Amino acid sequence: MSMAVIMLNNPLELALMLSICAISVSMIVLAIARITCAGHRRGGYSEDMYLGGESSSSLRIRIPSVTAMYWGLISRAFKRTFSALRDKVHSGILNEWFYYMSIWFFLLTVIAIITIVVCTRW
Amino acid sequence: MTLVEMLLPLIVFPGLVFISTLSLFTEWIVRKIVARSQNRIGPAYVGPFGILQPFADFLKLFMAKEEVVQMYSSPWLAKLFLSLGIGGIVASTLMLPLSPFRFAAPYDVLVLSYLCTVWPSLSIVLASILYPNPYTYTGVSRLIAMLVVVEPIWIASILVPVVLASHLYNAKYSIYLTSVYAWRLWMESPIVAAAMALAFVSFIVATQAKTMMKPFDIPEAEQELIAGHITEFSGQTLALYNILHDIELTFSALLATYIFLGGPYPYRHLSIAGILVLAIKYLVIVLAISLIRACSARLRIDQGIRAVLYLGGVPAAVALILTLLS
Repeated sequence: MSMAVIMLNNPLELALMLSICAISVSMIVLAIARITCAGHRRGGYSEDMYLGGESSSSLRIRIPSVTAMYWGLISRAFKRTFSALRDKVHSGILNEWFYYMSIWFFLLTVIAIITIVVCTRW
Repeated sequence: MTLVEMLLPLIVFPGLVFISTLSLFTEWIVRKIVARSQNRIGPAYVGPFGILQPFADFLKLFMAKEEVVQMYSSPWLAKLFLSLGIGGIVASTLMLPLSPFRFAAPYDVLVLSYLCTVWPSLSIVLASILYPNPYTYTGVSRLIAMLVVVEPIWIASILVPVVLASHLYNAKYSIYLTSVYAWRLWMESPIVAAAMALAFVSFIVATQAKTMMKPFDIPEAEQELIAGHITEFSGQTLALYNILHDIELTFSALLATYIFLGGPYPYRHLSIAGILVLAIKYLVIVLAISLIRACSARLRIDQGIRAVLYLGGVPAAVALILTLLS
């Protein structure tokens, strides 16, 4: 058994080729699923959704959307950052906003200069 | 290269058949280690030492169990998305040195990131929301919140050995060439070794969170959300989800074996010693992940996100800075 390296010059060509490979594999998996499901026992086509023993009337209660829950989780996980943003940037006082933005622009400028210096050295 | 030469690695080795078999074997190892750590026996009845239990579980779900079709669901579309996730990872195995035909290109680390992070993550999210349910939606919102933090950390930790190998040995940001030089990086200098160690820790934490193993099994959260985003999965859909999860874990462990630990080094691939060394390195990574799972309890979602950020994100950032300085 020999082992060969197929070196392509363009990563886009590789991405395209491997994407086609991925789609081919997924079609094979789907075909196997289709063939093997022929002899399956199947549930009814009108099963209610599983609500952990609650009746479907509980669905009348409005629940937040996935997007709202996502932002809720993120803002809870990064509470300090969000609090700082709310208290400093959206405090309504122009001086605080100017002070906050100046610090960030200064920090970004320093990072940009360090990046340029490091990249130029290479 | 003929079509047969292309299809053989894709379907048989190291493609669909091999990675599926290895992933089910890996599941057995994980279950056994976790069980023994918790003073339980673990899988014991199917095959010697219960080694065939994950195979039996998969076949039962895939071929025999009833599939409950909920009235608002789209089961075949969900199966299509899960299959695409499996396909993305299987195609990525062709970039590893394990494959008889290794595909490489300059900057192919971007292709690997695209196939291993975008495809499986999106496929799980899309398959889950095709089964509408309040528990599913809550699980999906948690899943997206975790993935948004975890995937960049996973990619950042991979970038460290790739960038180091490219600058020191002209590896062209290629996964295959990085894995060839990975073992030399540990001996290059103390700064490079420290960057590699930090990136390795970050990769293990990110993999733990990516594969939703304790303490990061927050989207599933049994007893709290029923089963979170997979509450409505059953039969073949659940079988495909389970195998996608196992394949994701297996591929991550294989990738770490190659780009962090140097694969079969100091031996060659096609030697018994090389295969043994490769297997031992792979098992050490699986053991580490299993022990973390066995020894920890589930975190709350905000704690989980912060834990990934501090234990995975900070080491990855420091490793990248050390990489730039080295």
